[in-house]
Amino acid sequence: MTAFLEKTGITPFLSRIGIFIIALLEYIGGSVLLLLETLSWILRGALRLRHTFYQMAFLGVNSTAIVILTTGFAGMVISLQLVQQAVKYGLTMYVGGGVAIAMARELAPMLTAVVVAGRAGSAIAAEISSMKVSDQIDALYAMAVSPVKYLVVPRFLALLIMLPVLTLFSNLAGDVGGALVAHSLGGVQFDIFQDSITRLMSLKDLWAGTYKAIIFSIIISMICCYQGLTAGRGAAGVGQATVGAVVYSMIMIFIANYILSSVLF
Amino acid sequence: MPGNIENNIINDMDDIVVSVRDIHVVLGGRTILKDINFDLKRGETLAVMGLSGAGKSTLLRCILGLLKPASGEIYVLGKQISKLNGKGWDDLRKNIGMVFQYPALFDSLTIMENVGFGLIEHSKMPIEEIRKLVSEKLATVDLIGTEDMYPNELSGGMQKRASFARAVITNPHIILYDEPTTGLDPIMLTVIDNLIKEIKKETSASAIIVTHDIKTASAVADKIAMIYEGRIIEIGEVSKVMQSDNPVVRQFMEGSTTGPIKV
Repeated sequence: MTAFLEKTGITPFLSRIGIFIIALLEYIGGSVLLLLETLSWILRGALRLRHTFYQMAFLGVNSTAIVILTTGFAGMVISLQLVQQAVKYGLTMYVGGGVAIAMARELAPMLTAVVVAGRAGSAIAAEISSMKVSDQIDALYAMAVSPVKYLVVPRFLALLIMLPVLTLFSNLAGDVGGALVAHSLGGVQFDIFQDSITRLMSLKDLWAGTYKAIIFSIIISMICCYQGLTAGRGAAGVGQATVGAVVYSMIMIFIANYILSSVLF
Repeated sequence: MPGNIENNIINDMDDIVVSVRDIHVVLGGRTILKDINFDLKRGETLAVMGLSGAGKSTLLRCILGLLKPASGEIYVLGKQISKLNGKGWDDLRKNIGMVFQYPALFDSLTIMENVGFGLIEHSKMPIEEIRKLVSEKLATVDLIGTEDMYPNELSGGMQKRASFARAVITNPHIILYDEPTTGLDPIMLTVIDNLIKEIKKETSASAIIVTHDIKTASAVADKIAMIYEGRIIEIGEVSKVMQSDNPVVRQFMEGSTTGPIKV
């Protein structure tokens, strides 16, 4: 049987699957342990406010323009699709609500998270992995300072606060973009668009988007910090950590978004 | 071997600050160090020499707890390090200064914040006092006036000296130097050698210096340990090792390309 498996190439194939599963479990386990250690430092009051405010500005405030640009266009394109159909069937009073619900429930939290993962997440992974390859992480250990307390906690808190805030801005940008397109292409008056939003969208939609943003912020900060802390040596290690941080964050955001949508709505 | 170990504590602690017992280090399936044994006495400076990739830096990382040996024990300041928990490590590391091969200064912090990092993190000393102490330490490494500069504004040699100041500011009992003279010009090399001697005189801290520079080893060390193929093949007083009959040691000291060491 063993000879048959080896002859047909099944053994190396199974072996590769086994290695992949072990690596995946190790990765998930490592990220979860990092999250637990981060939470334990927060509970012990290791908040490092100055660093956290700096990270809020760097990771959050500096991402505002690109987030608004992205989600503004997302709102515009949704409105473009809706308004063409709405004009045809005389349903223009529903365009505002449609755009706002799509933004609040799905597009604003997910697009904001993807943009932040690409911009801020890559910066987190690149910075921490550069510190790793230049012995700065070991220097922290050598001086009896936990890298989790010093590096991860401020970034975790900064994203935890800033991603929901950016998501709210995204909602606003998407709705404004949608209103502009609905008005210019479908002749939908701004007050009708606004009235449609208040009639069709509930506060629950906004809250659900905020819950999603909170979960996404945890995913981004943990994966990107973990990638940085476990980076390989040299410039290649920094590159791999950065690419991995963005790719894994995005995959996890999409998976988590599906699960959250099925639970929340 | 000096040092009686009972209940994980070295009894003659007055004398021995680091005791390495039969350690065996395996990394990525490859044996890096095997059967490593030595003691470092209080106030003593040991130079660990060997070829590149011989495992010298790995040894320092094991002593600092950054790597875990596959077997064997290391005792630092009387503590059996394999038995230490997180707080135990923190307490121990506060007594150890480390100079890394690359300066490992934090890019986002000023030189003042870098050098005073240990005190800022672990002491309740007012920041003005820390700043004063940092300025004093920077003066000893000839870096007066660099307090508010960032590491990328300093040359490699200056960064190296700043990392020396950072390592000694907490008055550690042990200082570990990982290739402190690598990549420096001959003049800066002499400056660093003198600095290590000065630190030794001023702090009376014990030190382990990993280097492949014979000049540095003979200038600053009391003893030399030569590592070859993962084992210590010679250890003793500087003069004794320098005059060793061991063909590997001889070839290394002479820098010859012919001999038992394959290049």
